[in-house]
Amino acid sequence: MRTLARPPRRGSVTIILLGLLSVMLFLAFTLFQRQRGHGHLIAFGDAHLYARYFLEAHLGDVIQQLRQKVNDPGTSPADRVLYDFFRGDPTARFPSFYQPSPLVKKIPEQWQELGLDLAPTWEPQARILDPKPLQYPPSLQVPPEFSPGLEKRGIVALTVRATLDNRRYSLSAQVPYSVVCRLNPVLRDFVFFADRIHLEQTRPFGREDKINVTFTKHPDYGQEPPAEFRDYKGMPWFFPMSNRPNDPHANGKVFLGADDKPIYLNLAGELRYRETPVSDLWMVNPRWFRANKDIEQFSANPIFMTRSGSMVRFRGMDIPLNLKGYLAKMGIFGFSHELYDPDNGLFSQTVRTPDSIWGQDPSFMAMTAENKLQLALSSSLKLYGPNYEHTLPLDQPYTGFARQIFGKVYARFLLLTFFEFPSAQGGGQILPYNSDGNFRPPPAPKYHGEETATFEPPEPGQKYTWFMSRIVSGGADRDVLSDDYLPYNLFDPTGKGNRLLLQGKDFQPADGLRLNPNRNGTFEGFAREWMSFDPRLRLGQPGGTLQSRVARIFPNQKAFKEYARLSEGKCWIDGVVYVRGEEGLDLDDLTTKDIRGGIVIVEKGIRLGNITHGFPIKKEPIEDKTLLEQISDYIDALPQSKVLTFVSREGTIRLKGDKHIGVQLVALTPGGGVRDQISWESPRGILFAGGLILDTPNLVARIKEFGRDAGKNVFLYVPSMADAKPETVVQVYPRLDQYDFNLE
Amino acid sequence: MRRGMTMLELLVGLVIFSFAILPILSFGTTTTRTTYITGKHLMAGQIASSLLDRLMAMPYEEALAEAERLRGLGNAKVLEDPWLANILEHQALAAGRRVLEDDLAKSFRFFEFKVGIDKDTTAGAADRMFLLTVFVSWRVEEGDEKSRTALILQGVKFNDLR
Repeated sequence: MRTLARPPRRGSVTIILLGLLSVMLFLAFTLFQRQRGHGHLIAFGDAHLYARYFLEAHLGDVIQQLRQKVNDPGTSPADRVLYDFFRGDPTARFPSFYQPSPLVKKIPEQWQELGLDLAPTWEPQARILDPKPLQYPPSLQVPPEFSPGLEKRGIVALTVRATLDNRRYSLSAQVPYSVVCRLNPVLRDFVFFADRIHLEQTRPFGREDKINVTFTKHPDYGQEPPAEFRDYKGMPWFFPMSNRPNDPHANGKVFLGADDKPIYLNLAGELRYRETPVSDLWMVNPRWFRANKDIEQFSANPIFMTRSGSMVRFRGMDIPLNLKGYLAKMGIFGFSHELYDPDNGLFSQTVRTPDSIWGQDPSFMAMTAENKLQLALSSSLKLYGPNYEHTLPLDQPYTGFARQIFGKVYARFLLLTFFEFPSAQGGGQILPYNSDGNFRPPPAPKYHGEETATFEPPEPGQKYTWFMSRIVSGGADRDVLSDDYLPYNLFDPTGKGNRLLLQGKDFQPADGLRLNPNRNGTFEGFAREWMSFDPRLRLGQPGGTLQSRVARIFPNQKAFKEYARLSEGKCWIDGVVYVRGEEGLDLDDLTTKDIRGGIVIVEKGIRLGNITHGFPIKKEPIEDKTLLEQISDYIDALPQSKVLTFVSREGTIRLKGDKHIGVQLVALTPGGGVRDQISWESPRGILFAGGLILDTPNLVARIKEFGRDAGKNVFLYVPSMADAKPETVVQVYPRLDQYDFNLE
Repeated sequence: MRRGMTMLELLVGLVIFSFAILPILSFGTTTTRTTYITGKHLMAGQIASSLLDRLMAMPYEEALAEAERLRGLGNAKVLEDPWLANILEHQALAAGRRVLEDDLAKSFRFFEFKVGIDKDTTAGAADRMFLLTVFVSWRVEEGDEKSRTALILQGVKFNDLR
């Protein structure tokens, strides 16, 4: 049987071959695809990298220009579009402001040469998100027009775009910003603000009075103070007026507190009238005396002759009495050594002595109980300055200048009243102190004893006490003469020349910010609230304090100095910054004019060299009148934008230099008592233009300090600090939020 | 009757198989090489961006000083970068550290970097920013210096105090 054989399998090799070829082709295709995928992946990854770095550069350039332009008003309207926009309505359209920097513009050009086609749009998209007004402490009453439009915070949302290899990339980020005032509200209105100075006058007389410590004497008097007052021969703090004497804001206000504690300042007692360039009696208005009805200005009358033959004159007024030729000559004496000096004093070798005139006055008794030399001591704070009374026509009354003194601050001086009548000898009969309103002094001999004259108030109902010699604003006779407490202030906001104690409720600065009457707002309360700091300080924290305005925190003074560009001959603060570090802040002389102001808060102590704004000031009193005039003119025109504020939170402020122009110093030095907060290392004629904010100046220590070199110490105010429109600065925070790189 | 394959058939089959497998093997080799090249490229990207990011993260003056120092090195071996060396010094890998160092040395031995700096010469702009260019080069062919290729990254360091 024949077995059928299978035919040979022709074509099997071909089939295998074809199969293998198919597999080969498939694998080749797959591998090709994979290779191409790798190539794409690399190209894509590189493009991402290129695009990211370029867009970061582009965005950085945009932010840097934003930061530069927001505070630069420039010279033309086109320069200041950003400056105006950030200070205006934040919901308005964000203006076009960006011009690519040459370095950033160069990047796509270089890549073009490498075959990369990078096309930026060069038009960043910008808008403001979440704008909010900044808050203020509850102790402050903020007028509606002030807060929303002036200080605010928000976010600038930015997006930049570029196309690379036909892919469109974008980078977005958000930059927080705030618009804040360059100066502290309320406090900026003050040339001197000491809200615990009452600690230096725990009692108004004697050893516990550390305010009235300057041993005063007439410059020509020619006597050294006795040993026990030798340390207090230093010059007082003079607070002269600006060139705008009638502007209540331009001279800088003064607060001596606490708000509810009385402070008494001995007036210095310049006896001459219309002759002296400096005095303080002018702050007393003749209309404030109840005995006076018609006299508008003081006069200077010779009263009696001294041992040397010169006539004693005093600033005063002659009040006609009920008989012809009968006068009550009332005059003011300030506290001075001339008053007391038993050898060469006004009353030396006369039958009249201070004791015989004022001896029954409880204030006088309290004042001189420990030491008669207390009569020689004047206030170490002279809250006035140059006087131009002598330049005015005789018929033109000098009303003093419009410096507002806040707090329960009283002027203290001696009133000396002579009863003068025809043929009276030696000035007449002194009307001594007597607390009985119906008292009459014994009849005085008239015409060589042939007749007598008796003092009688000119009108029924007028009391003897209104006319008699006494210490005004004495402090010890409150019950007797409660209406004779005269505020140390001539300025009356009502324009009526009334005597007023200016307190928190009367504070009406030009910008409209006021202490909140609904919350019994006080200066002390505001200062404490505004300057309160949380140790867990973070940037951008909401709140109503200075802390919430901080936009940069530096770990140490070195970082701050780099920021302020001190080594480049600049001092640019442009906002509110905070300096940490145990070493505090120690600045050498700052002689540049290139200053952009702001508030520098230092955690620890501060030492400052001179800050001269370019004036060639040496460490000595400025005697060059031309230079002094130039400085005065400069200060008068100095804008808020150039004023520097230094705040020491936990340290003291030591001034290495003694010339500081356009500076506000705030010392929050911890501790409750009288202590050194702001002090001068070696003053030889202080020139300070700006403001001093502290608890207590420690006047005894300062007077001794000033006395070492016995220079003149002048504290001026910078008038622009009280401008109705506070200068603002835009702070662009250093951090970026919501960073978002996208392939669109 | 023929049973099985003749030697000739087997040889023909092997020849055909060889022709088929050779390109596949060749593709395999190419793939490996491509992966290797890709890896190197990505590695170069990592090196360049880490260098750039490191400089960008520094304060301006420090970044400028460091960039100038790196520029002064010219073409430098990546492993000679003190920063990378410093990282290796501080790696807490104990026993594995030697292995890691060997691996890194093998991986990066032919990588070099160079840093360039451009400043804006416009008046007043000199201290505001500088352009950083980072070149990272490596050998595409392990033993061939001529096969060296480079990746370039550019970034701008801004002085945020300006």
